[in-house]
Amino acid sequence: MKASLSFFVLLLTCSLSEPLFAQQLHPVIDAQIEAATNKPIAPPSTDSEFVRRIYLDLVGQIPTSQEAEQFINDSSRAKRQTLIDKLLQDDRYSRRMSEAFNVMLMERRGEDPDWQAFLSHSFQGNIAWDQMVSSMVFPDEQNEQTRGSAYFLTKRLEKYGQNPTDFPGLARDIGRMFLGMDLACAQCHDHLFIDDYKQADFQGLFAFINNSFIRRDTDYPAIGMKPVKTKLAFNSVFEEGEFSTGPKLPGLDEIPIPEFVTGEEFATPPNKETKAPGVPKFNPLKFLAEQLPTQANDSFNLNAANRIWFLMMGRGIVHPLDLHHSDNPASHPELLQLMAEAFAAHDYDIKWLVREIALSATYQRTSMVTTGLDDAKPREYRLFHEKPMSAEQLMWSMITATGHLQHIPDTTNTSTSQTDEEQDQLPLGLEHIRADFLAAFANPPREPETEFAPSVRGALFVLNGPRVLDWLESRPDNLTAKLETLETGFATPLYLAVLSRKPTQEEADKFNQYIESQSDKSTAIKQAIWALLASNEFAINH
Amino acid sequence: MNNIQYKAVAAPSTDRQLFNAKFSHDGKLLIAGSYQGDLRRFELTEAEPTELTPFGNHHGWVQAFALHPTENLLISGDSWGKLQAHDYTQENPMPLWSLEDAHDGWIRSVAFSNTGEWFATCGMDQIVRIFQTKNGKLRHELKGHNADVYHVLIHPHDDSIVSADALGNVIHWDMKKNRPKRQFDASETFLAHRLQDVGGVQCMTWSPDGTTLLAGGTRPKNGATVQGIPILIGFSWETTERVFLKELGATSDCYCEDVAYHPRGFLMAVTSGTPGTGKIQFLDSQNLDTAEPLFLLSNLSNCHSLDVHPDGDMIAVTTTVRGSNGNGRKVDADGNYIGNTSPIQLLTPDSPMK
Amino acid sequence: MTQSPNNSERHPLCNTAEHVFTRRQLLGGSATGLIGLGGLGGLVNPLFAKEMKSKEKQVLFIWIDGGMSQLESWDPKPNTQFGGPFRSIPTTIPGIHVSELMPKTSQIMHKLAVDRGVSTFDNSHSAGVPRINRGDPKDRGVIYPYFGSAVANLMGPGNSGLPPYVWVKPGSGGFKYQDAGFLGPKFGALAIGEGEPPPNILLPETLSSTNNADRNSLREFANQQYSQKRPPKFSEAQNFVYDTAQALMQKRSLFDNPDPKDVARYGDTPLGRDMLIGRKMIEAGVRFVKVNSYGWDTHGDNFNAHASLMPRFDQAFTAVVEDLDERGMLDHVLVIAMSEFGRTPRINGHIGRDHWPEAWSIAMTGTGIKQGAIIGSTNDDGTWVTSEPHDIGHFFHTWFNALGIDSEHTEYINDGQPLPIADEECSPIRELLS
Repeated sequence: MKASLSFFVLLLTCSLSEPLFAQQLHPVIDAQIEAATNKPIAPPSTDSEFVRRIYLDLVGQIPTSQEAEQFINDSSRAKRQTLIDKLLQDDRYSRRMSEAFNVMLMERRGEDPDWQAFLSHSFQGNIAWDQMVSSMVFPDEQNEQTRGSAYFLTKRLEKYGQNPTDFPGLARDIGRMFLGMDLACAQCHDHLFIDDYKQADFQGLFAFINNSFIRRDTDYPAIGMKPVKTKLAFNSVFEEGEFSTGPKLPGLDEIPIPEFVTGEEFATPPNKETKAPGVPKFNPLKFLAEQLPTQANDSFNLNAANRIWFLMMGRGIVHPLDLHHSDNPASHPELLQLMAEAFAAHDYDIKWLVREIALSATYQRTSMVTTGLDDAKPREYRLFHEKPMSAEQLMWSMITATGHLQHIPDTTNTSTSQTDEEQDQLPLGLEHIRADFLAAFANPPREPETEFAPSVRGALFVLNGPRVLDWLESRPDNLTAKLETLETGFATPLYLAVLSRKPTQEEADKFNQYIESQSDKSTAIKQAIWALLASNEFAINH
Repeated sequence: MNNIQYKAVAAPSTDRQLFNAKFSHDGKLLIAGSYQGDLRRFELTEAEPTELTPFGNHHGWVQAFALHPTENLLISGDSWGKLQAHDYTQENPMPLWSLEDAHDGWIRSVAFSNTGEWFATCGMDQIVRIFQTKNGKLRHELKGHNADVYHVLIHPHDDSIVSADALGNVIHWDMKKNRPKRQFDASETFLAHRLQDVGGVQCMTWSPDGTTLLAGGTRPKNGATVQGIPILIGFSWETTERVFLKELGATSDCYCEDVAYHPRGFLMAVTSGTPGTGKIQFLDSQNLDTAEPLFLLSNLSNCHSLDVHPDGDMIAVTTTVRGSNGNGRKVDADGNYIGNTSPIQLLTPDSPMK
Repeated sequence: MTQSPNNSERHPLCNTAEHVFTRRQLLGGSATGLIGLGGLGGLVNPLFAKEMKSKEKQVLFIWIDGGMSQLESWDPKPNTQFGGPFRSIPTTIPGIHVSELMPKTSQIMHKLAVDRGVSTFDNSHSAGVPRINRGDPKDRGVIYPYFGSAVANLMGPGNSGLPPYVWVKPGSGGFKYQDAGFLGPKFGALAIGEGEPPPNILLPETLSSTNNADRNSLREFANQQYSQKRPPKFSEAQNFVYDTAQALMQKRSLFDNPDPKDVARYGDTPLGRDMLIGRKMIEAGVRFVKVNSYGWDTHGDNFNAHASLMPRFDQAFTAVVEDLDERGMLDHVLVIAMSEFGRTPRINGHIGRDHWPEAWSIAMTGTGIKQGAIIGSTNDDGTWVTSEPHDIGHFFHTWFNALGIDSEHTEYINDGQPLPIADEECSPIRELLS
């Protein structure tokens, strides 16, 4: 503790000369976290804890038993850093980040192949976060790989249920996702108890998008804009008077609305034949793309750093993620500020920030409660706190644990017609598996997945659903088949495969005795595998 | 039949909401049943319509009434089931006869035979009844509907009796055997939605030559605050087959509330939407597929009934007051709770029609 | 200028109870997190909790969503300006009449209690429904639980092994944790949608009950190992959902096809079928069962709509009251039937009625309720309440007392903050209590 403190003091005095922390953020993270508490701090995680956790966080699934065992047995001192770097280069990193950002940004509203392509392309190429945000708020229709970014806007403009087009909802989500501010309750008046959130802030955001519309002339998501001619007028339900604003981000300057002679608002006029809407000369979204994701925008930077921290740590330094204001301050304001600045200074390199957090002792702490840690609160980071697993992480992890990956048929190019027999059976393709897991574990649309909220639906899926039980059937080289070849010593390969660790003696005895005592070993093996798949240790990212 | 234009000339109303407004045969009176137990009359002889004394000791809603084809006689039925006969031209009409429980509950429709010697009624008790005009004596009961019977009407040539119900079932009755003879399928006007039966046949009429039976309503999309596309279905009287289905608007236009043929041969329909847009449209009955109506007035609020003046030009459309909906307590300047009224739009052709 | 739609078309979010109640959440509190408490809610004063455990009272809460018209049901005003077309009919209580649309209910009126002097404040669905369901408590910076979650917490799940709060409804099923507010997801509702059991409720045929016992025994062993070294919250939440899942599996016969005689009695309608499932859930010992009927928001064509809606409610409601009575359950089950408001006396342009919280009616019977108590009155036109008006807070007090809970002295303890269980400015309606 004291050593860290003096290190921190040293850092503070040196921090003004930027090269030191500009390269190494993780010591700063640790120093900040440790300096903020006098209470005991947990030791580092075991290798088993770490290998499972880092695989889940960087590639979205647990390690295979070989990967786990290899890591545990590796004696090199830098193995954690080596593993981190290896996983960051893995193909599955982009899959994992696409899945996580899809849930965060779209909140289960729907699926779209162009949107998926945008995410995959962005994470495969480690595209900077500011560029991603630019793409989302002002999509580039000419770029086939990224134009699906428009889905962020267009899906929110689609009507659902009996509701009219939810322009206020879209304005709200731009605030939530990119500024960390939920301005919903500031639409009709200044926020009643968050002094920082003003009605003018909401209306300024609203003015960016209230003239937008979903284009119907393309087969990919695309956003159109009508000519914006006037400022937006609004009233407060509490204050007298007429107010107005042009498009304006909180804390930044209002964008002036140019005047055009009627008939000259369009750079490209609407085309009645192709039904392409006109391209107006003035498009507020262009300015949004320029002003929103910039170093000058503090809220943007803090929110970005906070969300990536959340992905790794399970909790934002500001929590909830979209309620940053003076009365809900960051748990570690200086840390957040430093992270935000460093992230900006590194050109919003997501992989860089993820890596720095992963390298920190804060991230690598154990989640096991030891002496003096009973009272550890998540906001203190004295302990690594358990995190929920997403539907996608559960899916990939169960596929990996049971050794089923090799048995998933490639159904992408097969015809859709099925025989009657086939229709009665469980469809085997990945898209069906995904659909099952989303139905069992994903939140309904528009409900953020930030808290641990297990459901009876999910439990029943694991208990009785055909999917998981199907994977317990013996197939060449899967876990069941491998265990069936053994006479004794079932527990170790079982635990390594499912829980990424070796069993304790008590655990080994329990499982070995159970399987050995059953006359039908095959069935017993299935129950044993299932028990661990259904266990809390499996379902929780610890 | 081009350039048909109608314009509003007056909109008499009174202190109660009103149902179907009809012209007397001499065209001097406009009569409508009210929402509270009586009938209201307006005299049309002066420039401004003036209201006369209300009449009819009814209860509840007086939705159903019909005028005798030749005499100054009006039969009215209310939503409690009472039937009465009045001379509607008297200054203070008194009932010629009165039947307290002609039906068990809501009487929806009244229609005279071609000579007026008898008339038919129908209602919520699912029964069609035939009464003698001069004294209200019951002559027949026709049972066969399984739902609230919304309409009864008599064929212009041979006194055939047709009735239509809330499920979209239309029955042509066999008067000798007192049971259904044939049925027409207007079930497209009906939808079972959640706990509610939605729709049913809202209006009916005959083509002038009696060969086509028209039924109007909505093709419901949902119950509660009903939405649906207003539709008009035409059936061959001879074969019962459907000969046309015309959509009269969008899902917010909801119900086709009333339909009538103008003496000049075109079809007229009024719709009542949610929220409150009402439309009057005139259609070329020979060319119903033509998308454009011959005339369309769409700036009215909910239209509920349609009648044509005997002189063949003026029409009367009951409507409502714009902005007469809204949650919660709406009060006037004196703090009194504001009710609603039903202005009867009177429209005449803008220029003489050919 | 273009007008922002903030006034006339208020965003639905501006009408939610969150508008007023989420101060704590906004301040970064853990309102939506877990309440890591075992067994009966530790949020209640422990002495009281012990006492509550021993009682077996239950609640059947019939929610008529959209606003049933009091003028077409409990408080008719026939042949008046706003009275509409229908007649009123006498009931088994001399001098008391109801709408002709509820003939069966008129015959059990002597078993019911009705307050016709209900007057509440919210005339919107999106905010009104949660406010009414939460008892419209004063703003304390927390999201108050719905009545079902409150009862689940205050009275516990009972011995059924089933979740304490089951919601039978059309549409989607699933776990609706939002109802629980600050009490935490454990006190949310398990929703049964379309009478369907939750998916995957049946043990697969390939598994014997021994297999099932074995695998769960191993699972529980693994969980014990894990929880020895980890904080309790996540583990408890997981254990809870697995326990609930298994309890549902054991009670799967609740979802079997109903007896045709029962279907005929309750009506083969969505409400009839759901009411029957509700009765079965009550019989199985679920503490709080909410049965929803949707589609009552009759802005257009109110009268024809109620003409077909009311008889179906009439049949299902009287069936369940009489059924519970015959089974001797009415003495320990509180039955409530209500909407979020009534409907306007004024008849609008599309022959409908709009929302009317100013003067409406709530009906109830069962444990703790005085049968035949028809209280409260409105004026001749049905526009105002002429007796002492009662807000929803009064009813929460009344219902808690009917269940044996002292509503004025019982509190939740939320993170150290004591919170009244019902609006302190209201009190129990003595005339409704037996």
